[in-house]
Amino acid sequence: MLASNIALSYGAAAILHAVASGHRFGFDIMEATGLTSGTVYPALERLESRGLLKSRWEDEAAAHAEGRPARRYFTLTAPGATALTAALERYKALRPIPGLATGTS
Amino acid sequence: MRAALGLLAVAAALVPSSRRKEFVNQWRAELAHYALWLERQHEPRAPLRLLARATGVVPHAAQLRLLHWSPRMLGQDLKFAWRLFVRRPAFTGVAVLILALGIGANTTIFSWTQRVLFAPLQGVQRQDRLLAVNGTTRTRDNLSTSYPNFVDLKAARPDGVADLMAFRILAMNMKADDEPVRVFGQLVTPNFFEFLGVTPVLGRGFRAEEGTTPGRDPVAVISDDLWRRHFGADPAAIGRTVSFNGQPFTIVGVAPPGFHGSSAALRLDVFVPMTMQPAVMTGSSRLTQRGNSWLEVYARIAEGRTAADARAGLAVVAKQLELAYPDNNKDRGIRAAPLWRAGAGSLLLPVFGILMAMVGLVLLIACANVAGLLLVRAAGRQREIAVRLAVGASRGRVVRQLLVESLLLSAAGCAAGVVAANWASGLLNLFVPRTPFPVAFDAGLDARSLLFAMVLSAAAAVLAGLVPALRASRPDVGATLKETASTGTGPRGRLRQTLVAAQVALSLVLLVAASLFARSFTRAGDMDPGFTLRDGILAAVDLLPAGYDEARGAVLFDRLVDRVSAVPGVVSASVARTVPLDLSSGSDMTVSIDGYTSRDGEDVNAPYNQVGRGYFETMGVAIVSGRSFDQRDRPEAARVAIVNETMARRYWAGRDAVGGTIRFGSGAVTIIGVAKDGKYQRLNEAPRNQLYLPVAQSYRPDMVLHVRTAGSPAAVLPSVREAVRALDPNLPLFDVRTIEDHLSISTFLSRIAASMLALFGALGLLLAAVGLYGVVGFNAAQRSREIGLRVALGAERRQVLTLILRDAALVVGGGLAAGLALAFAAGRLVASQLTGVSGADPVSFVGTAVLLAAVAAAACLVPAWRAASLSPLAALRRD
Repeated sequence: MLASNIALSYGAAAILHAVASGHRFGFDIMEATGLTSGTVYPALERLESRGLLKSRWEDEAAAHAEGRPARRYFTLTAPGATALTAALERYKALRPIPGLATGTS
Repeated sequence: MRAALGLLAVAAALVPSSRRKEFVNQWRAELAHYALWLERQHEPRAPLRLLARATGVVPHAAQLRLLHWSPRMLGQDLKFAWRLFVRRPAFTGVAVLILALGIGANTTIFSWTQRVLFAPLQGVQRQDRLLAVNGTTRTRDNLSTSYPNFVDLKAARPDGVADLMAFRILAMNMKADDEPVRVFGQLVTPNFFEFLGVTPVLGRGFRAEEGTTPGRDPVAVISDDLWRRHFGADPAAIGRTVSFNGQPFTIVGVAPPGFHGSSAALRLDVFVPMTMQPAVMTGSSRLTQRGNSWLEVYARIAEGRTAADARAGLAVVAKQLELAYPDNNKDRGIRAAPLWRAGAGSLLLPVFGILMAMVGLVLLIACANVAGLLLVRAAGRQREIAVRLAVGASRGRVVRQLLVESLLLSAAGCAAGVVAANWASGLLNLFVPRTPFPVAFDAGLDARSLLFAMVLSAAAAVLAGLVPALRASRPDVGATLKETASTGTGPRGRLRQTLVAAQVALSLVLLVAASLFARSFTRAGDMDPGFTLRDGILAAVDLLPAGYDEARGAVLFDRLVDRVSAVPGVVSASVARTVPLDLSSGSDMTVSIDGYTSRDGEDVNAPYNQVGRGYFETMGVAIVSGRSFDQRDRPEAARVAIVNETMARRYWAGRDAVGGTIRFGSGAVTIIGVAKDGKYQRLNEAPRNQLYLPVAQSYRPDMVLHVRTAGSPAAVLPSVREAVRALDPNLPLFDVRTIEDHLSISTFLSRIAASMLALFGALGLLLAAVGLYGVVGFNAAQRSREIGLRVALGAERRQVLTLILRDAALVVGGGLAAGLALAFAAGRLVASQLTGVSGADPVSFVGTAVLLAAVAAAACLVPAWRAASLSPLAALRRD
């Protein structure tokens, strides 16, 4: 797949890393990576358009029960997992994630 | 929360409609979550933090918009734009030409500026990591460094500094086969090439041990240029022995092409180890004198460290050196500045900064002009655009189409502008005056300038294209489709008028600036520099390579002055170490004056010049009291000096300076005369101290012969050369130039500014006139039916003319008023660079306003007259 051949920037790798670690929506990802909103949200769009992430909307009812609007949740795709594995080789500062190479998210 | 949601609503407009709802929902959820979180944290500045987070909507929206522009759609837009581009060659040609002028002029000036600012040294690696290191005292911050201080500084390995290098520029006589030639080079420490990141292409650089033992290593590396000029690019030049200043040296390497040493804007050709100083320079060895500061020093900032780290590291070592050698280093500190603040950069940057700002105005005028053209074209395409909108194209789609069109125009303008700028970047050398040093600027554009041109053309496309595109795509489809004639006074007409008024205003600013500098330039020529010499010759003489010692040298200078003075056509002659107004800082020293108590911390600083007998007569500098130097001031006689009026006034207030005593390092001198004040370094400098010492008592082997001629200097020059040859056939005259040549150095900067600004002003004026002509003509054509009716009903031609010109007068008047206000502000900004003219010079303001008004009147009258001359029948039938 083409997308996984293009090396990820450190910021993109950190975001994939955060998603893979279970941070699933914008606010959470920002807190986990320390990146600003101006970086995280556009990057999420780019990563989704490259097929490394996919997003879905939270169940309305579940959100409503907690008294808040539904969120857009992001998850890693299989190509995303491959790209992140390669990126972790390059960026030693990001801790490895157990079970990542198999593509589970 | 309200502010954040407001921002969201604004950004949402940017998002493609298909994604908009999702975008808004996503952000609502995120912001709600964050607001809740902030509340739970009891964050006091919650609203601010929320708003800060909400700013992410802008890049997010922009990203969605970009992703939405699929390559396929962009391809369609480009294809359509290209068709338009080639179908209307006249329109395309004019728009591209205008943009090319604007972008080309900007890129040219940028290439000059960035070369001085970012890359003053050609072929040197990572120049942004280099610092120029100078010594400081309590009152000065640009002192050179002595060799022992440099050696200790380097050995101390200052924290934050990777390495240090020292050099000194040196003029030398090179003798390879027959005739000696003058070359300029540098004495350098052996790490010179590694420090600069330069590898010789032939042979080798210097070895570390070639910097340890004075006089042991007569080796030299030469520039690629010298290798080609004098050695026919022969690889066998390596290993050859040539003489520099009479000493044999072996050539061991050739530097890469383009490399010309470590001094900005100078082309240096020979590099020899520092330890060879006693062999090629006069006087005793300077390598052991801690008090003799003569070296320039560069530091390279260590990897991963900052300039501030390096400065701190150097300051620590400076303190250690002060404590270790209090005799020479008391109160002596270190200043480390980026290269552009040292040397030529500090002189050129203020002028280049002004040029950058002014050339930016040229681009603005060009953009306003092209915007006007695009508005006209959009008017002609109203139907096409209305149809597009009617069949369902979104407004954004139409705007994008129109923007791609203007982008194509500006891309073509960029290409043409870059070609022009690549050629024009070398023009800077045309302005360089004849100086004793080989000054030259590199021509051609580098990657940074190319990038600048591209960014500029993208900005120009948006600047020129956005407003016309938004205007043209206004969704009043029905009205446009029905409309057949426009009145010309509608909003679109007004917008064009505003654009033209802006062009008038901006070109007035340019013209005023051009006029200020042109007047400053002529004033500088009329200004009294403090000496009357105008017809005369200057020529450098160096006795050291000719083998003279101090005693014989002093006698020779005496005889030289006598011989040359006797040449027919010569009024008088003398020698001096430096010539005033050469922009160089010359030499100076700290002195103490008997009977003058300096206030605490004040150093009495005395710039000085060694001069020969008859100097003041030759230069035409009046001696206002006491006497001039003459035969009495022999080497063995009592030591004497002459001061200028400023010095006499400052330190002998109420007393007679003549008879006073000045003390400095090597002894004391008695004042025998006071000379009239003059300008010594720059024409617009404040009055300053000047001390004159007789060369007979303060010997220098390198002097400049000054000759005052009765008529044309060129006619006398051969006889002067003959007289020198008769005295000593082995004594060549170097850097022979007329006083007129020399004085052009002092007006060099004004000349660059005046010439370039005149060019920009003319360009701006032309564009504004064309814009005005277009608007008046277009409006008149739009109103041809009305005009026809008026004439048919009995209006006279004069009345019709008045009708058309009234609108135009409003545009020009508005432009002039705004322009004068802007020009007044600009005048204040450039005032420091002017000589003899104030920034609010009335002649410049009134003159250019009248000129602009006259050109504007001409540009309006022609189309207005044509419209008024139309027969009513023709006018009514038109359309």
